[in-house]
Amino acid sequence: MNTTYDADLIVIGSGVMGGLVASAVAQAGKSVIVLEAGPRVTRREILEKYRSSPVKLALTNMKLQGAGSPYPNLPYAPTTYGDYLEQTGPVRYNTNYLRVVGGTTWHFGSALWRMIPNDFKLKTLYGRGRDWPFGYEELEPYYTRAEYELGVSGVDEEDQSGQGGAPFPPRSKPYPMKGLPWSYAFKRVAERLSKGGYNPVSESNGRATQPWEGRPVCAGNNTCNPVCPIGAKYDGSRTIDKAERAGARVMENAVAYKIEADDTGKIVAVHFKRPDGSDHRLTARYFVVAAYAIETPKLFLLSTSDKYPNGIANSSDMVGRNLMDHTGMSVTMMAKEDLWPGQGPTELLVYLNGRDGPFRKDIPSSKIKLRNTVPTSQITSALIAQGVFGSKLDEEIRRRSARELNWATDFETLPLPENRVSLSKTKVDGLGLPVPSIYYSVTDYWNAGRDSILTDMKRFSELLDADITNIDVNHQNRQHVMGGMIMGDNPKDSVVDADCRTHDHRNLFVAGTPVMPSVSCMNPTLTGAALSIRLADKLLKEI
Amino acid sequence: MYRPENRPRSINQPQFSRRALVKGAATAVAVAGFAGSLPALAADDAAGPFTRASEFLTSRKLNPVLAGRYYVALKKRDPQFDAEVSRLLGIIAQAKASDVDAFLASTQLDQQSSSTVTKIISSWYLGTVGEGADAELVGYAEALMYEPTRGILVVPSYGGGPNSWGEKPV
Ligand SMILES: Cc1cc2nc3c(=O)[nH]c(=O)nc-3n(C[C@H](O)[C@H](O)[C@H](O)COP(=O)(O)OP(=O)(O)OC[C@H]3O[C@@H](n4cnc5c(N)ncnc54)[C@H](O)[C@@H]3O)c2cc1C
Ligand code: SF4
Repeated sequence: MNTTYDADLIVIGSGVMGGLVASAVAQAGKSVIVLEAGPRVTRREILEKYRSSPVKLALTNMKLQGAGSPYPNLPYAPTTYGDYLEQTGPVRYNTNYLRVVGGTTWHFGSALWRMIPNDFKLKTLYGRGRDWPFGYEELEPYYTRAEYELGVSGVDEEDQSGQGGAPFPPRSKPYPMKGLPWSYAFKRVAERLSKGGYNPVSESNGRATQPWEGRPVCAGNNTCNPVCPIGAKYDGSRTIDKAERAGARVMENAVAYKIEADDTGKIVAVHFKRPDGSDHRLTARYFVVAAYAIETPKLFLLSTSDKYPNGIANSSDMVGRNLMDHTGMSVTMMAKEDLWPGQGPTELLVYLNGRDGPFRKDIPSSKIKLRNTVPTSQITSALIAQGVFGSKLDEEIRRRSARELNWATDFETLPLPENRVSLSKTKVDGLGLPVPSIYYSVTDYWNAGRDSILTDMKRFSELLDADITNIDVNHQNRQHVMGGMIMGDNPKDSVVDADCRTHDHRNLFVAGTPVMPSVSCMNPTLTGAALSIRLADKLLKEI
Repeated sequence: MYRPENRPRSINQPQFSRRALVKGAATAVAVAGFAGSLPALAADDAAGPFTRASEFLTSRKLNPVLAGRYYVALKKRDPQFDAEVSRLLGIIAQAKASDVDAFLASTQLDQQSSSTVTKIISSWYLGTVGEGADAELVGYAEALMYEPTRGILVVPSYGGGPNSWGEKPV
């Protein structure tokens, strides 16, 4: 019954979140259009660009990333490396999301974690931030479905609350795939740190450990960012492909810039621009915005009209506010024995002793991760800059590669209304649309986390018999964009309700991490995916 | 002490060298194509002194095709490069050192020759010539920096295969 609409559902954004909603709704036989701002890319093309690029992108080498991304930079969908994001706050929020069919997970690390029950009750238990409108039990079945949709490998027996106890959090089904094997470095480091009561935990992640829906087994290529050469790692292209196979129509190079409501508040259409600047309009019964946590609020703020001068769904003035990240720090240390980090995937071993406890009243939840990217080029550049040549150069490359450990900590941050995405008043992109302007800051809560982790790092260095060689507490961005479209029961201080439906417009929903009322210290994609699957279930009852 | 001659051979990637060579040839064509610089191949003779300096400074027999391409890339950015190389070769000859370590220990390099040494070593080790936005890639998997840890750490994107890690590296 689709005579007066272009589609039953229009999804904006073809990343993992948009893909999950589109594929579920298309599989139920409904007509779905997905608008995607960026172009299509192929794994081969990105891999070749990476290999032939003089500056290789690495998470440990953020400064150089501007020159190093193998993903397209187009006037209508500019790269977020460089100066696309306008920064106005005391802390830079330099995140690097992608605009291509499949979205940002093309280059994500693929850590896929659940939050734990206490994370949903931050206000009640610890007097901080906000509670979710529902608890872990409600999301659990969707976490399980998300793990099977994305193909997650993990260790069922582990206590992911970090206390070294019984398996936690409770799960209704085992991980779809067993965990990845540990490298020597992980085993040896874990052995030494366990003497200090630090409980090693294996990161659950999107790398296949058995053939999984066309994905081969992870082969330790160590380039999860920027691209897995063999497609062992989950990325959003898998899900959007599924949606297309189920009949969804994916329109690439289509930049949504306005959501249109009628006088009753019903959303009737979305307007988009093509790279040539031409304007187009499509209608549908339902709309889901899945453009990640910066472009989503941007689109809502752009959608002004006489009736909605502050943008669509913004009667609370909360659109764009409560932007969060897992703003972090890192510490480098030099061991006195050969450990060889860098073997296998780019990350796997984490410590979660600081994940949960009454201390969260004063100190944020934290996750410590051993970075495991191949360090050769950073180490060699540094040695050459120091004038180390001859056989000493080879020796030092080997010694430092074998012994240098880099620990990256992620902290929970709180929803603060002043941390926000707004529209730049001075800068536009190639289509003339204002770029996002970001104000971001941290509070003493973050500083307390930093001080507490510095104590842990000192203890790590003693247990490992290593010397601390560098401390970076300069608010490292962790690439986990959350908030901006916050969820809550009260329409006066939140944008969407517990079903991810905007309070102001019954047929408009937001998918993914922008709705999270609290964010824990864990990578957010699995939580966003669980919310998106739950959203699709709700939609299917109505469409 | 670690020496390039007895560098450990790959255990996890027995086919690494063959693959790297094939790959290297493919990249050579690709890169020459992009820079539009066919003279790379014709430059073998002109690159002779550069190759000699490079082999002395890195203590290795080096791939002549790559040498030609590093030479072209370096010369493009520095018109005085030939003169600098011949001056450096003069200093090396004068030092009468048995190898690069003895040379570096016995010779106080002036600013210019030290910069020439850095340029040459940096190119071969990192596989790139030039800085920042001007940087150009000449070799990837062939960059010398990967040699000291070969067999233990991979060249990123050329993995060792499923479960190729876990044992204590030797
Ligand atoms: C380097 C890096 C590493 C990361 N590692 C991890 C990790 O290990 N674990 C984890 O959980 N998370 C990680 N993340 C975060 C993760 O990538 C995101 O949580 C995830 O991609 C969000 O999915 P999404 O579908 O909401 O957004 P995206 O994947 O960004 O997709 C959104 C899509 O919407 C499109 N779009 C935007 N605006 C418009 C518009 N106006 N019109 C049409 N289309 C539009 C975009 O082009 C894009 O394709 C990482 C991120 C980065 C950058
Ligand atoms: S380690 Fe390599 S093979 Fe494994 S997922 Fe990452 S990029 Fe792919």
